[in-house]
Amino acid sequence: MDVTAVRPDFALLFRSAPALLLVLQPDAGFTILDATDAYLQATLTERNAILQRSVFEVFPDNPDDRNASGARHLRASLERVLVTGARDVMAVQKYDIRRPASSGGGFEERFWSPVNSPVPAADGRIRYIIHRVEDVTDYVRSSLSDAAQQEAADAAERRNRSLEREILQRSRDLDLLNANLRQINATLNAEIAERRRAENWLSELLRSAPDGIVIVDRQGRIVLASNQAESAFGYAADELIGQTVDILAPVDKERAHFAQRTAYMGTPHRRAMGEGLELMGRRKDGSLFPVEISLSPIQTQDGFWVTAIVRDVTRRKQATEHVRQLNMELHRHTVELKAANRELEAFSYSVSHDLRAPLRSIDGFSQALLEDHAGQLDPTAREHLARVRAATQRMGALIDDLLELSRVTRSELRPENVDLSGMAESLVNELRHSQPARRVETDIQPGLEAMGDPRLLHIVLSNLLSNAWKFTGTRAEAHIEFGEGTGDDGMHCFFVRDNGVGFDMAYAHKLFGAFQRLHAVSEFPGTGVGLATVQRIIHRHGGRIWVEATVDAGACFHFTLPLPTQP
Amino acid sequence: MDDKSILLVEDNPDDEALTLRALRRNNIANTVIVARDGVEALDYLFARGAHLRRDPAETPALTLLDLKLPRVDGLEVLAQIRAAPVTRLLPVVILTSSREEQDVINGYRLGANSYIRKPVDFGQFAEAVRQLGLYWLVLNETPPGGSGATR
Repeated sequence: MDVTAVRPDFALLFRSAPALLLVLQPDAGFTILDATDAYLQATLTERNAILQRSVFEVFPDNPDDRNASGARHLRASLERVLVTGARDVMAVQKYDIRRPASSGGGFEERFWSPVNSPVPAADGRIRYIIHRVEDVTDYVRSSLSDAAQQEAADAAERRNRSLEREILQRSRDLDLLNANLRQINATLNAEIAERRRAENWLSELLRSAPDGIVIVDRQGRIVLASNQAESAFGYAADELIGQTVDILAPVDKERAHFAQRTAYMGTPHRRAMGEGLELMGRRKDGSLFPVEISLSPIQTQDGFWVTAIVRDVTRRKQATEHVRQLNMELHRHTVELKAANRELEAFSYSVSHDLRAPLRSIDGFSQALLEDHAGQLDPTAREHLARVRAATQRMGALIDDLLELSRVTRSELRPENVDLSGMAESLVNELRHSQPARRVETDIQPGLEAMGDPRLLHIVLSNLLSNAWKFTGTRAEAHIEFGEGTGDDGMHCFFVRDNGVGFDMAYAHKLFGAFQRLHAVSEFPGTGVGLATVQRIIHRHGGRIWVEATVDAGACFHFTLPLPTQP
Repeated sequence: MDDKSILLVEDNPDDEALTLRALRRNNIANTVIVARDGVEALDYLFARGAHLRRDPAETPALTLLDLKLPRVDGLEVLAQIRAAPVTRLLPVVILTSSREEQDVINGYRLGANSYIRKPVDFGQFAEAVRQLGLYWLVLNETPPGGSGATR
């Protein structure tokens, strides 16, 4: 069954109701939404003329009546309904109505008995206000014609109204106050939570700080001590609170400490860690330990307090002592080394002079024999003397190389930018002059520079290039290359490569030791000291040297040197 | 040839013999005075001690000076030679085994005219002596006055 089909026409019913009813919107002007026909008739109005208009606009007070209060009272009542949500019965009102212009205009005296009732919506909020009136003009005129009586009634009513207004105002004030209090409460709660967080954070800070923290008030009483401070001084938790701070100083310094902190309180200032003296702290058991203390004043309500950061430097003192001992040891070693170096120098000098002199004699007198007594010597004797001379000369070369090795170790480094390419070119030219018949193809990368001692780097290149020259001696097409490889650790990497006889990499580790030779002297002459010298020079420059070789396919020496400085 | 004498300051008899041999082989027939240590060398040059009756104005045309010597060493001898007016301009060639940088530097700083290292190989040694003699006794003009040829 269709409900709408039987639903009554409520608008028609409302408008036809035998009562003076007005439906108002609960807005600022109390807009008229509808009215019954009876209301329109009683108030001399037309429906179309009043709908969607403010009730006060439609029904203003009579401007000729100075005491007119109808509109004011109506507004107060309607607002009460809005605040209380309850029906509001108004006292009888004199509320004159406007005569239509067709009836001559002006106002017509009327007395009304109004009741304002709220119409709440489903959610409890007031949706409409029903304003119901009864026209009591005739009754009032007949029963209350006496003006004095009227005046008395008005006065009583005014009192009532003023009382009501006051109550209303107070309840509004109360509401406002309540709202304020709620706001304040919320703020306080937030602040408390914030403080709690800050306190947690602070205590966590105190707990985890690596140094002990002690806060002392003006009288020198400990107000706060961190866990580190407690354990450093050997006290249990909270045992220090309230104690005088002087008990943390050595017994014999207690009075001095008192004097110092009293003076400090007079002129509080920041004092950084380690500033000033070697300080000692006293543990609960009386034992002492070295401390560093920094002080900073903090302003409190009770005047200046002092935060002391206490660092136990026992381990650092021990470390310092250890370093001092190591330094002494190092110094002793240095002195010993210097002495050893001086001895070595004297030895080298002696070798240079005294070991060579007999060699000269052996060689010189062998030669004298050959020259002066050639007739008395048979070919075998001459051959023997030739061997003697060869051996002495070889020993002379050996001594020279050894001296150079020792000189390379001892001499002071005088580093500068060195043109390695130019150095290699001139060395190769010298080698070509020494053996003009040899066919050697050389490939020297131009523009190579390094930072080093030019005299020592000359020895390096000289050794490496002569080796390359020497060990390619059996090659019809010898090839020697000097170039730059891939550097590491901020160093330049260079290489000297040849296609000579090479060697077995199994012996590569022996190559840089003094007197180590991988070939027979008869095959390739040499003392076996050159590469030891080269390695020592490279090491003294902070570089590395290594070699790659293949038997009968050549060798490649790689070495690193510091980068040249940019001009 | 003028009688341009040579002072050889050498403590090692073998080196002395070899030097003299090298001089002879190169036909350098000048008088050679041998001093076997620093004191003897200075006594000769300044005409004192065993050489008291010598004329100090007759200075050698060339002094061959070893460095490592008993009593007064070669560098000290050189210093005294250069300090005395009569020998101040004397040509002095250091002839030694040492190739130590310090010796070379000190030798030149004290006013040596040359620094020759004795090679082990006698052939090379003889060649060095030949060139020395040729240069200092033949090609080189000796300074006038206090040193040089006798009259």
